Amino acid sequence: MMRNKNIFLQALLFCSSIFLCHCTKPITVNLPPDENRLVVEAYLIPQKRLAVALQTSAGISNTQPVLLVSRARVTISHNGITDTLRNSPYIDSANGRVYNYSSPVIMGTDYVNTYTLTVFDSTSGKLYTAATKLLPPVPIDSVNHAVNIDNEVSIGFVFTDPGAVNNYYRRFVFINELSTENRGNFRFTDRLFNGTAFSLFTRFIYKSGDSVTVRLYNLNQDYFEFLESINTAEDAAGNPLAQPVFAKGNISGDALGIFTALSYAEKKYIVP
Amino acid sequence: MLQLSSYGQQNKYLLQGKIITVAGVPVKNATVKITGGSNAVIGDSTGFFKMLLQAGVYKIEISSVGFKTKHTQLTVQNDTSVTLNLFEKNVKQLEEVIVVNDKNQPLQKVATTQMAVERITMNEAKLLPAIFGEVDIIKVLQLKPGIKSGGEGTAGIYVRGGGIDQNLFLIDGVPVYNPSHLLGFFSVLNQDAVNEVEVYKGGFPARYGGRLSSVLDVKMNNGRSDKIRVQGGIGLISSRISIDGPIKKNKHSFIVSARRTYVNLVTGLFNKTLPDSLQIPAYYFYDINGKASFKLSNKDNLSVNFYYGKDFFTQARTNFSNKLQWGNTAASTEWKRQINDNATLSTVAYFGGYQYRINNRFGVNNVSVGSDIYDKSIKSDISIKASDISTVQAGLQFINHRFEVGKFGISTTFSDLSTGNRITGNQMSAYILHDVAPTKKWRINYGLRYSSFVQNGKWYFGTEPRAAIRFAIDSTQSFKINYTKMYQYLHLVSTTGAALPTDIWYPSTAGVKPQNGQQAGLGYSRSISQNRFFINAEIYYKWVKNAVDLRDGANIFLNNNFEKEFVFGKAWAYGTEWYIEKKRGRTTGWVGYTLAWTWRQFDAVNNGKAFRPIYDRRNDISVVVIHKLSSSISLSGTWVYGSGNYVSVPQGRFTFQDITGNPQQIPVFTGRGNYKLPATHRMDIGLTIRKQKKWGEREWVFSLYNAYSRLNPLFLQYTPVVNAQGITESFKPELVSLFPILPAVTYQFKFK
Repeated sequence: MMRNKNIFLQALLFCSSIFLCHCTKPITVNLPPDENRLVVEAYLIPQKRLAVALQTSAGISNTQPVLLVSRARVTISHNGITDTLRNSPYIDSANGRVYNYSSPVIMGTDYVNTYTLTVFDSTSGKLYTAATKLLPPVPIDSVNHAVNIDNEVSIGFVFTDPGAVNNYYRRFVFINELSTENRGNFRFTDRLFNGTAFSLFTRFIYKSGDSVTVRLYNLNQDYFEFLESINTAEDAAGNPLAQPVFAKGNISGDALGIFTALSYAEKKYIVP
Repeated sequence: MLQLSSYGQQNKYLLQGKIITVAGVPVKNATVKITGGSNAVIGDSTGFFKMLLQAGVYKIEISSVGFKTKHTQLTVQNDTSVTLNLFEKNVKQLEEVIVVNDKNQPLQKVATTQMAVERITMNEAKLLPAIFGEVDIIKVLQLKPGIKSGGEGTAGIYVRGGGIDQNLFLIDGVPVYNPSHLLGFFSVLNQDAVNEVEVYKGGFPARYGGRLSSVLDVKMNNGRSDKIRVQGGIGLISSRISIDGPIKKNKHSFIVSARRTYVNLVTGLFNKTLPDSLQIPAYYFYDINGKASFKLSNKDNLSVNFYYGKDFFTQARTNFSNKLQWGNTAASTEWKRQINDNATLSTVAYFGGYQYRINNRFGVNNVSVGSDIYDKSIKSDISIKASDISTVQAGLQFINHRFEVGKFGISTTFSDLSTGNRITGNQMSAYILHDVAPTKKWRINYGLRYSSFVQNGKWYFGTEPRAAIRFAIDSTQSFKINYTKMYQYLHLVSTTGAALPTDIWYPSTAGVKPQNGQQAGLGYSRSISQNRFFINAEIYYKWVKNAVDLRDGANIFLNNNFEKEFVFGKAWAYGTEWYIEKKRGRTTGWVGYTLAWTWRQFDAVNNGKAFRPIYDRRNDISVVVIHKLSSSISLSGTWVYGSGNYVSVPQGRFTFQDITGNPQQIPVFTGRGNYKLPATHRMDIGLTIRKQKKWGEREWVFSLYNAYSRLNPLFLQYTPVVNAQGITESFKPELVSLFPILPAVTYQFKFK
């Protein structure tokens, strides 16, 4: 949520810059690269194809963008049925996500039973597993806006948090069309407002006449924590004030990545 | 030289010392006479003198041709070493520089059972070069063996492999929880308000407790009781002023000192001309110290002290703003009563604490985060001199801690929510110690501290034995050995090991056991060349049980349940420290060397393997030289070398598309402390020119920080390598250094 360590890093460098400079010097780090760990990225979204992206980690200074895995057996099991995903590229046209393992099977909507992923990596001979559930979406009650003195608009929305469980949310705000820019990526939990109505506003970056779509994901805890950990890891790579973090999700063994099911509620709004 | 009776006569102590000018030049053949008595000696050609005296308080007259006769008073309770200044008749005497019973004198250091202690007076600290010209006594302490800085230019200290949370920082007996400003670049100690600092690295006397690695005992100035004095300084980034003087002449006194930085005033001027998107963040801090001392009777003294300091960092734009404020508060009152000639009772009540607040505004959303710790305490100590060779001290303390943890609030047009936990805990302790010299060669200081802590019905108890033994080979050299055990009931929730304002103190609870540490040390001390040089060598081993750390990826923001973030393990450190100091003459200074190892091990961290924390520094060297060119000009230089810190760096990366479909490269960390940064070294040079004026005294202080502009690595960052399509392909490691050569000048003044 808030990057207070980044604020302190800015403060540190700001203070040093006042008193002449901070300097950087390239260096060679003689450490063995951490390579060839399996990385899984898989989202189960109702009405979308089953698809998984499999790659291996690369050395930190390796310039090859992605090291794809081609020799794996991938299955997703649910409610007694197992679907095998073939090494067949699939691109989600809605957002450009690329997967190298996919199945023509369309994901259903089941909020009760568990989905299980297995990946057998033929190269290493290791078997990896993960499990997730689809959570019901939390409806958006209303969308509204606020205007500042410069006539810039902030988009807000109100929703009612279910009180029985801990919820983890992610908000997107798309402008004009869903496939265009998402300016409202924000992650939060219900710790402060469990079981009550809550509202959240964007920055003042919209204007009168904009057509926006507010989307509220109801996330699994392990996906939320994975996102937190990778953000912290990104911070730590260039921040002496951040703690090193192992960006490990819910995949078994030494694999990295995440397997999660996603549901969301949406509401459109035209700024008057 | 007057011949004296044999040293070691029954019930007599050796008073010896040196007569020097304010420039440090020995005064030849000065006469030292006990007023009203028959004892008198004539010093030798090096200013050195000695005499045997029974225990007591003596009025002493020192005279020499061409110098003003000085009258002073000395208390002799054991072998005593002093340095006395004489002023030439044509030089106006502005400040009496007398060091009486100076614990820093080599013979005193050799004679005491205490080892692993460093003392610095503000007068010494002022002679050394300082970054930005800001004299900081804590940074001078970093030049002593076994005390390491947290990084370039910072005031945090790590003592014998202990974390920054394991230092008990006391200002006139009141703990200060975050003793630094500007993210650690400056300590909270204003040079005009501080008298001296003692740092115990081991062999802790039983009167101290609550932290595992060190005690920094800061003594503030009392203020003059004869007449009002105004002093201050104008520097590049801050100015300060101090007023002290009598409340009632020669009886009651006060001192008030204040300091403020003003970088924000400059950036504010720039901001008026800059567009919203380029607004420069504003930062400043201020602090105020005050003390009033009252002599209620010949036997009773009362003092009232306070400290208040605050830092502000503001980043303000039209659509968002970040405001951070943090600071310490401390207030105390102390009553000292001389019960009789052999017994003193001291009772202190204090209130102190630390708080931080962050207020973020983005759009119509306001988010605030904060945390507090506040203490209320009363303690009483009694010291009884049972005989000439035996002193007993005992004391009691009660502390009520109050923590506000995970304060968090959010308000929008439609919502206004806040949360946070209030936790209280009570800490109690009692101690007794006995310092005894059964023979001339042996001296023993042993004691026991018993502490307890209760939080929400959960009690913890700690038995903390302390012992220190000195064996004197003769009056100039001794061997020492010590053992201590300490309990620490408060823990710092910090993800960095650095001193961030947002680090949170958290008590021992049912789920968080207290840390306990033990340390053993062995040392050899020697005074050589007629007390001109002091040599000290020590080895130590320290081991900590229930050491506290945070699990990987711990979230300390927006979290009021830290207990699930803690992991528990062990830590150990060992090393040797070597020190030689020249105390006399126009050229003084020291050389210190530390060879040390520090380890930590937690089952839930680093795959259970032991790792080196960032403050594990194998070799540490410091060289300090102060040369008095004349009575008004002094030149100083320091050179420091430190092995590189161990840091955690990523060794891998992977591509993460996220549900947004925007690929990012995520670094993969594989372990803690897996990379050693290059070594650091630096030379600083200072020049102080003092001149007497009709209105008082002025000083120009010139300093050159990092004189040969060595770019010392502060940390290692991985910069993304972006291709033509704007996609990050890999990461490039770079060392980041903060300060090249930094000249500074400060103007200081003292009105009569």
